[in-house]
Amino acid sequence: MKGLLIIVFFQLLGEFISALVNIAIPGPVVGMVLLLVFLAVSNAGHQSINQVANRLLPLLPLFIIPTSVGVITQWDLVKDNILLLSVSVIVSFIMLFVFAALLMKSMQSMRWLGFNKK
Amino acid sequence: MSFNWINAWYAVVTHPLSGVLITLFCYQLAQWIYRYSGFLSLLHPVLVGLSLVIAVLLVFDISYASYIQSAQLLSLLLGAATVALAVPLYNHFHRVRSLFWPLLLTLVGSAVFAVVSVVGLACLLGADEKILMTLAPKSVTTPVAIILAKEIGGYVPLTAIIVSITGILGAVLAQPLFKILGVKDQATKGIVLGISAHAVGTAKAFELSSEAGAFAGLAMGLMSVITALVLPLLLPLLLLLFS
Repeated sequence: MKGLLIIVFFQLLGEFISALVNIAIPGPVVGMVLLLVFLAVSNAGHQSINQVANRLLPLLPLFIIPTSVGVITQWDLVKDNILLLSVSVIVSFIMLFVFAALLMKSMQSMRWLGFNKK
Repeated sequence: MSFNWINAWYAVVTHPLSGVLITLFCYQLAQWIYRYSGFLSLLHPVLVGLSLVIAVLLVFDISYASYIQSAQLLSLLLGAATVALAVPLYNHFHRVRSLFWPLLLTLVGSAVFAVVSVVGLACLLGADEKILMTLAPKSVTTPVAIILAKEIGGYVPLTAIIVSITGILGAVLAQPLFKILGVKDQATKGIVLGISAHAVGTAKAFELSSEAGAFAGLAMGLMSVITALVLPLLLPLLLLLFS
């Protein structure tokens, strides 16, 4: 229970800060970063937060599906742009994959970054 | 005794939880299908589940507006679950602390590249601004992508589906691409999967090894945070450049 309280508290704190300083970073993302900082600097409530997160996160697909189903109101949009969307998604996926792999490889060759000490 | 079928049916479909029931049922079915297919990536439970929900709505002639209203309970928890993503992020962070700097540099570079590549490409193919906003967050995990797409004004449901498809592309194409690129290191494999294919990629990385999985989980989490940070800075610049 305490874990849920902390998580919802950080969610609303995130919303509060996001609205307060009028940044384009959404509240829940601000809340996630704040919770991360909280976990790093404090030892309190870790077990309880872990418990709630372990229950909540496997259910994520259920939270995503209702929004995704909204695509049925956008059939025409999808139909009109199907080629553009498919090409963009597939090609940009491969570009990013190759980019990240090559970047990581070049990082590995830089010993001063400490990559090789394990 | 006479049964009032119409009233009974009406009581169910207008109940404030009927959308929750439909979603739970379809997702459960999708999980069974996934298991019986031997965990075939193409039959990922999120995509199958949402297709089944769409089928139910069409068959029973239920409008999206009434479905989403009675499934509100589920979408409401999206924000809390997004905050909870900090927990696995923190746990993975602990395991891979020694490689923090190369990882962070790779992630910042990749987050910028992810947005620039997809927006640039779609722009060259003639996409309008709203479609660009729909595609821009495609490399972050779905809950964050939904929230970001809402923020920048994309077609939110389409973003969610594009993100799921991107994840599946990662699961299907990772092994052949690693072979072509000559990537053998588990840490690199995990990071690349987390960056390019978020949660689905992370699940794939855990199949490879727990080391790859931990790196993928960390990469996925940080990718969401960094993308959320750079997106508001990058987008105006990109729109200026490509329009």
